[in-house]
Amino acid sequence: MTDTVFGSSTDRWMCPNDRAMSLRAKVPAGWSVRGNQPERPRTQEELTDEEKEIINRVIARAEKMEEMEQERIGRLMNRLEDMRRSVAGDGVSRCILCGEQLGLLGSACVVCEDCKKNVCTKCGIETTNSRPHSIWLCKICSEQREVWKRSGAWFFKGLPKQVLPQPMPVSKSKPPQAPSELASSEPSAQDPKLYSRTQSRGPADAGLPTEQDSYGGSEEKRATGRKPVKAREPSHDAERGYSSEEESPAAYRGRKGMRQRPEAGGEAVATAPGRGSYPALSRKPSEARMGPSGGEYAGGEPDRWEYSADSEVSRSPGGVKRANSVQGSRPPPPAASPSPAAQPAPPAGSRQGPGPGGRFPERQVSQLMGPLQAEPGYSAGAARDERGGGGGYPGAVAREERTARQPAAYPQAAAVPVPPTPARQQQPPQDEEEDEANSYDSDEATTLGTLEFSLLYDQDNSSLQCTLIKAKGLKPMDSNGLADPYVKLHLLPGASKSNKLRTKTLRNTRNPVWNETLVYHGITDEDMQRKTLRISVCDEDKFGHNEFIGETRFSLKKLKPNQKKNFNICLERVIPMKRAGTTGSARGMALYEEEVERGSEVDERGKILVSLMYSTQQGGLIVGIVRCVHLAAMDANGYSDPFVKLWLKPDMGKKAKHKTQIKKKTLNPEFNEEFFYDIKHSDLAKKSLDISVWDYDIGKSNDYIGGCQLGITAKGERLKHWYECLKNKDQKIERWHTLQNENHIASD
Amino acid sequence: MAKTYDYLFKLLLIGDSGVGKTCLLFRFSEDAFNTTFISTIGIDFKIRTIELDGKKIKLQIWDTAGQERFRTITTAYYRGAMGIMLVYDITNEKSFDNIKNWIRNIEEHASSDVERMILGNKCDMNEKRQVSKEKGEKLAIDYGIKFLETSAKSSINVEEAFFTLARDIMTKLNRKMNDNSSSGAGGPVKITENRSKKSSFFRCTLL
Repeated sequence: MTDTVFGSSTDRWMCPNDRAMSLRAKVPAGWSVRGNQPERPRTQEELTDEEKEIINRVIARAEKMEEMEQERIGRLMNRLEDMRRSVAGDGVSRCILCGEQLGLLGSACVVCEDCKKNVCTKCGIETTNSRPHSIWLCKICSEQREVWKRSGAWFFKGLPKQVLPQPMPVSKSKPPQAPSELASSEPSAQDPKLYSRTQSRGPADAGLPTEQDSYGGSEEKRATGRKPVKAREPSHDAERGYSSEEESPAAYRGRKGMRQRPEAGGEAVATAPGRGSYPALSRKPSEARMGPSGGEYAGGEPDRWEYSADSEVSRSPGGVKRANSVQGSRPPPPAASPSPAAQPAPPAGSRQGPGPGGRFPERQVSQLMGPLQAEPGYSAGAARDERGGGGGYPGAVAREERTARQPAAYPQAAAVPVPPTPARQQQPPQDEEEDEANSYDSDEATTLGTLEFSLLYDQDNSSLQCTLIKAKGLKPMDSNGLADPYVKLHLLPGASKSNKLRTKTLRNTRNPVWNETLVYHGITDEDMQRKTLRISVCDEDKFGHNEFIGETRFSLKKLKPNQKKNFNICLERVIPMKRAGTTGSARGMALYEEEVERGSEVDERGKILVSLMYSTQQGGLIVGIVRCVHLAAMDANGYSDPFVKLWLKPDMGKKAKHKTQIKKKTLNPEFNEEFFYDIKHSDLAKKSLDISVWDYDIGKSNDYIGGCQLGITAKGERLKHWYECLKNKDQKIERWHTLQNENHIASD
Repeated sequence: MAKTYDYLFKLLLIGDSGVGKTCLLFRFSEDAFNTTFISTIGIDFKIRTIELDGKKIKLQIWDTAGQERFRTITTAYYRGAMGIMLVYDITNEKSFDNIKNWIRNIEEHASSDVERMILGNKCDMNEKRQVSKEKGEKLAIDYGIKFLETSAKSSINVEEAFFTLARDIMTKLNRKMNDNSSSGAGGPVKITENRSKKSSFFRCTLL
């Protein structure tokens, strides 16, 4: 909560403890209009724990709201980015948006006020808004303005300006400042918390200080390897040549600023070395906490949102501070322990994965600074300043720093895939005999909690039903000593979003009872042989930085069809290792990376459930498109907007084609649509039904996801389905079909 | 899923302890009133979604404790506010005098672009009035801030007050985002011009 309190000038970072007290004594009570004297902490100290708790509850409520707001902004940003990606023209002789030829022979041409590109009048929007003359904006810039309005960026001059103070330390229940509690809640310094992040991002990403884990934590929400939506956005702009024309000092500064700002900076480094001055519309909470002045971005138009070097310098500590404050609100990182040995290990206590080594000292300092939350900010900021070469941040230095930092961070992230960490090794192969797992016990496992669930493979319906019953004694993840747990399921290997299922989140409990059944449809015997179910328990957090608590994995081949099996296991933390030596497969654990490799060979496009029935009454074929599962993601947001096309070939004319509705942003769409082909039964045998699944895109051609052809010339399951349909009139026959990409179809 | 909205405006209520900030907010958000005085602990907020010019605006209104001992916490919220209500109690001269201090606090901690408004609350208690309406208006004019006398208890001008503040923010938003496309977006804000433009319904109280 202090981030704005220590407002403005030179002594803002001073430790208030003694000096504040003395100053405070001199200030008249009541209206002490504070100058720069940080007399606040003392007033704060007067609050009782009860009051602090009440306040913390309000803050938690606000954070939840903010989280929703962040998601909303995220959607806006995604949409904007989608538009940017579908740009077709060059903005000079062709309309930037639709690519139509401009000029004498082509469409009428106008210049977008914001990006100065040429657009045709169809893609431009004329606005008058109380100006003497109207202006034109291209649809993208118009949308961009809309996003600025809707996100609040217009006011704060940057996305999102959430200025929530952090929860206050409550002496009785608040762990962060109690070293002893520290030790107990976070027993192993090797605790590989970085787990969730590492699986979705590369090591380079992992090098970023704290924030990247905000990605990692929320990986299932947005990043998932595909595209961490926001922070990467700038790079897209740059690629597109959107506004990166000049690496003006302002832009440069902006970039540097991002660098300092933990999250966005890291992302930018990793993805967009050449990024220009586009606004880094980062909606990261880390900066959300800072005061508006801190939130500036290099403007969409450099001159427009440009900010001064001062503000930037002053903001960078702010950013760091916030990063620290996040940590402050979580169980304390073990890094706080002074032992140097602990430092290389991931800072388990925070939601974050490991920062670069350099961070730990900062963090330590901040821990030692005690309850005054502003201090961590200060120390971290200061430390960073030193590294960055002081307040001036000459560009070169910033760059150097960047490069220097990446390698430094690498080993930690790299530690994930490469060598098994001690923690991992100590962990007995729990999944080997899941029955024994029930009694399995270890320090770490007990700290993480236990999970009760049951699995049932319903062979007839091709479904896998996972009932999440409850968890017990989950590791406290929030400052209130509780957690907001939910369970998510992945089928490994496979596209991560398409096969993710999750329960709802239960608030403020370490012993959640979900009693929720999640169902995977379209599970075949082959899947059961090949796939591994990963069940992970996570803590839903403000801003969507969900934090991984623990997981278990289960190789589905051990599940007997149509037999429900109950489990009560201790959660563990698994580090996905590329090569786990012999143990990996022996344990029946699908090691993530390996599986991914295997999975990619198969090139999964997804599956589709189709029903066929020849109706003698109506004299035609009824094709039902029931649902698709595990579709490949085609959009940047990690999803697709799928629809299905049907084509009865050959020689059927217009009537031969049908398509379903478009299902937005899903990889597991349920269509339940039926289509009728008026055709004689005798003719049907000569036809084949071409089924294709597409990703709908606005403003550009749709992406082909996959397809399959049913017919007498098809093979295997597809032939069988067709054949059964022909043979059994008036009988509806449902079958799952694996989607293949075009080549397969062509060759069929 | 939450209701959709177009804009999120963050407002803040400040003023001395006991002037009725919480009651104003309670009236506005729940259309209710409670006579018992419960001092706000630190901070609180309520949500109400309103519609202006066809846009759905979600108002997140922060209520602050007036007591000095919570000042640390409450000032931390100035920064995030797009609009701030300064509230005094017309039956309590001291609370009116302190408005100046609150304004200074805003200048120190809030965004320079923040929209402000002064409310003289408890105007239903005319018999106990210590601050005349003219005095309130005068102060408001001095600072170039809009002013309304309100009563949370009798539900006088409460809606108007919040809608006015929201509209002012909206006006500023539109001006910023539409008018200066190529010049700096963060130019100085002319509050006076702003004032005369939109809220004619309450101009009489101002001038």
